[in-house]
Amino acid sequence: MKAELNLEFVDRVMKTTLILAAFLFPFLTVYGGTEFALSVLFGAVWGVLNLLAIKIVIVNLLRTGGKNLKLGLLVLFFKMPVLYGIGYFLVTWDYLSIVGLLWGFSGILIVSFLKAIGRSYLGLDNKVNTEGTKA
Amino acid sequence: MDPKTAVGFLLPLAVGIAAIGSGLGLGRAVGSAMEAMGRQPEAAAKIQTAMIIGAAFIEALTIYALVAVILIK
Repeated sequence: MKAELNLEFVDRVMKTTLILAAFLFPFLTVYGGTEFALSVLFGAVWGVLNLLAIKIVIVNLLRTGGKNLKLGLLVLFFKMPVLYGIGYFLVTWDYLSIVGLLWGFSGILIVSFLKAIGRSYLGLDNKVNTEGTKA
Repeated sequence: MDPKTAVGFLLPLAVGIAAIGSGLGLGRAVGSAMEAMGRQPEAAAKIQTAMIIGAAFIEALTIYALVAVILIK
């Protein structure tokens, strides 16, 4: 089991969110309608793109050593006007349900929260620390 | 001042307050994380991951406020 709390944790959160959104899509289509299901899917994808942009910006603009300034600035430009513009378009688009968008957007937060609780419950951080101390 | 005008004044103000709170929180979180990384460079990966997740959570609050304002409008 992967126990390290590093950037891979963020990648796993994003993957899990996308898989969850894709898994829920047919069920939401049947029980909530196409509009609601699409809203949840778009919200989840938007949330994942947002977190990905945050990750790339922090890694490339804030971390010391091994950073790619150009990529960081490019993603910063993509995040601030472009991604937020897409978000505004999604929220104001009448076809989509705002509640569904919010559920989808909150999905990544719920997944990361549950993953963090899982780590705490399984004591993964303690195991890593103990191994680190022993080594 | 009629209620519609009051709402028109207050909604942008509400988003502004949410953005200020979020900005202050984000600045404090990133500042503390940088300080912690400087003190313990060996724990930088863990601190950075926690900071990224925290930044997403903080940013989400402003987005919730913005969506709420768009809904009320």
